[in-house]
Amino acid sequence: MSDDTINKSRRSFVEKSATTFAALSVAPGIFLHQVGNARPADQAVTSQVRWGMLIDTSKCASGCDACVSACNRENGLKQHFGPEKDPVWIRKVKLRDTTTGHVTSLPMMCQHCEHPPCVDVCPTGDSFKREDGIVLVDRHICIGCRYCMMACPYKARSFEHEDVTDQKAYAPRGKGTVESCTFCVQRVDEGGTPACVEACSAENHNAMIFGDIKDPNSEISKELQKHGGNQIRSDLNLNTGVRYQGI
Amino acid sequence: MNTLRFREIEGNNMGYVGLIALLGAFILAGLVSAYYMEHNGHWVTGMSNMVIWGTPHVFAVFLIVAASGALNVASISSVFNKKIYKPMAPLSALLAVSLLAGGLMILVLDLGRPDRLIIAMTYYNFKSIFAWNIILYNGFFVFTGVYLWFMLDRTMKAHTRTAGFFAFVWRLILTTGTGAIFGFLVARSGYDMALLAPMFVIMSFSFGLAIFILVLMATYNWSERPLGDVVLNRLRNLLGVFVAAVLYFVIVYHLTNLYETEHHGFESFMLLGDHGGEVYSGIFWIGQILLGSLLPLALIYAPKFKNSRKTLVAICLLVILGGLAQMYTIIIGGQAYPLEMFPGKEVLESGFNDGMTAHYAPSLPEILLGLGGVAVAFALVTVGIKALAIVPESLSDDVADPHHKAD
Amino acid sequence: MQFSMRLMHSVKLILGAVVLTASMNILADVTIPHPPKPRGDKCSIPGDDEHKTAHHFEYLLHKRDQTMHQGIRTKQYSLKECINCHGPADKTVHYGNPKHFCSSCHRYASVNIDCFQCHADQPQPAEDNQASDLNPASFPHYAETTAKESKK
Repeated sequence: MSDDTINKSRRSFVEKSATTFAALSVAPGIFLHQVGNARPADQAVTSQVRWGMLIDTSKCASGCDACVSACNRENGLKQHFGPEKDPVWIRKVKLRDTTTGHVTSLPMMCQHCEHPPCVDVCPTGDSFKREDGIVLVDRHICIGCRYCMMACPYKARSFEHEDVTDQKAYAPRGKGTVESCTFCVQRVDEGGTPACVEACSAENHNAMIFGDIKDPNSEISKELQKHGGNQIRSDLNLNTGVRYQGI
Repeated sequence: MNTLRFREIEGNNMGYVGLIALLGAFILAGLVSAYYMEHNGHWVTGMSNMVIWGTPHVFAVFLIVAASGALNVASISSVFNKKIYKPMAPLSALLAVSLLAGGLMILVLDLGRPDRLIIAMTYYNFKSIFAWNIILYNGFFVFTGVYLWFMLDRTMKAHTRTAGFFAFVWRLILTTGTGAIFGFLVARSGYDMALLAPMFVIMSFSFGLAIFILVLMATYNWSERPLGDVVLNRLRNLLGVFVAAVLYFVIVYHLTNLYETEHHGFESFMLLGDHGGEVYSGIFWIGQILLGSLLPLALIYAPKFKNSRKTLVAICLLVILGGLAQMYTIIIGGQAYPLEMFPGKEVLESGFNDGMTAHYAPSLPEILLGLGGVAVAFALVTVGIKALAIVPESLSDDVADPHHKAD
Repeated sequence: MQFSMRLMHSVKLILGAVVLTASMNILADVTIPHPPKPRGDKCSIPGDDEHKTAHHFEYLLHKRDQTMHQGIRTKQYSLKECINCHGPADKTVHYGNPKHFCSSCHRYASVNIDCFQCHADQPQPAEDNQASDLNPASFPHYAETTAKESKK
């Protein structure tokens, strides 16, 4: 092979790899607002991150239930009994202040407390809090005693009252176990946001912000610093991950 | 002087066989219900996401609480050295173990995944009072079993007092733990009170003794053995003390709640039937207070009924009925009342019935499962008194207490 | 004496009933398993077929705890990935049907598993999912890590 050919092939190799590296380095940046702290899939979650949600009730539209539909679609929740026996991971609540008459509307889901009563009371330890603050049910060891449902101050948990078929592969659910909002952990672990937050933004209400509340530069932290956020049942001192503005 | 002799009951007549058959039918119905609920899922029951624990738990907690109290007679004889109760101690221990077994059977069969019982016994979250209860229940079987063994085995009789002491302390911890299952829950207005733990202990004294008296009378009547008035009067008076104590705790519980403004909603729900609580206030006033506390007290202390056996049976049945009513108001009433998530606000709409009183009606599978557990408890006693020599041949006045005039 | 003779008689009756029922069951449904061929070329569980059969649950159990508690969602030993390769293409074949990969052996060995009471027993195509590893474009981070893994 002549020098020219070697140089040409070497040059083209350098060009191609440089372009690829450049593209790869820029590509994540395009999705940066979604990804935040993109953790490699083979690394364990750490407590350096704490996932939280901020809901501005003044932006929450009273008749809208986009968050609820999105959650049902994302996690494969089928509704046919009514709230008594259906799995309800998120619901809309409309409130009226008895003194002032002010009406607010807000979505209510598992608050992902820092000191979750459901984790305290679970006899087998299957109700647990992950290092990054997401409270989950390990359905492999759930015996279905429902004590966590009794203990939750937000009535966030539902019991699976019937056989489940056609589950989503990334959201396994089955009869006889207890379940609740997982902050769409299957999405969050891949650097995404929960389906409800996405749906609220898609409807242009933008009432829900999700992010890392330990990162002072995240959108949610900045918003919390500027305008604050209240916990529901704050007297219980559970330090919830979900905060509300306007109640 | 008549010496005390323990002997198995004969149990070879049609009555005994009939009783076993009847209890067996209820046990079978309970097992079939459990299979039906597990196979189809809990949607076939009245329990829901709002009223999470239902009729099976009412029966189960009642049996578990009564189990601990049924050991009282034995504890009083061993720990407090009251000789008159000593002959009844083995029967008391057997009844305690049987009631606990029946209650636990209901709980386990109602689990969403009863096939994972092994997981419940091997994975423990020690912060959970429920996990502690599982350990306490198993320990109760061990301690009471050892206690019963020491009572029956002539070579170990000397150590009965020690075994009795451990069993007594263990059952106090167990019943405190059972009360704490509810008392430790901050979420609900009707729970979240430390008083529930000692209240359950006192309730156990009352319910356990009532069941014990009925079992004692039935055993002696149906096996045609003499049972004197002295023993029954002592037990009756003891029951009166316990029923009064339960009433005291109930009064303190409600007075405390009435004082705390944040619990006024729950109190008006339970006591006045506001906010959809008519069923629960009805069961509270008529079932728990009138029939379960006041009427038995009146019958116990009225001199007219002092030696009437029929009245004593009625008293015990009323106390049991009142106990079930109390469990119903605590367990189901406590869940039916909505969680106070938004103080000062009224819930206009909710996708999960927030702010609304939950509707609950016991369903047939739940009732049958509960009765199945009761049947298991009594079946174990019925078989036990035939297999083991734990029932004294005679508890007539001369045998039970030769000096009863002086007592 | 009479009681012990009656006891022995009852024991013999019970034993006889058990043996009879067991033998009837054994003779009833004996289909040597022929698990369907997988779609992929390399199984993430190491070793030969015998090792895989004897130990696959250990890998799955360990990975399940890692995924559940530590959020490690790599493809290796993931039950979802097993199903993506081994799961039936036929939509009507569910766990319990002897044509299902897992059922074919588990029915034969009479080892009851409850995985599919919760887990999906068929691979799921991209359009059914909003976050599926068969649709890696939905999340860029996924594409990175899966690309890295397939190079291993």
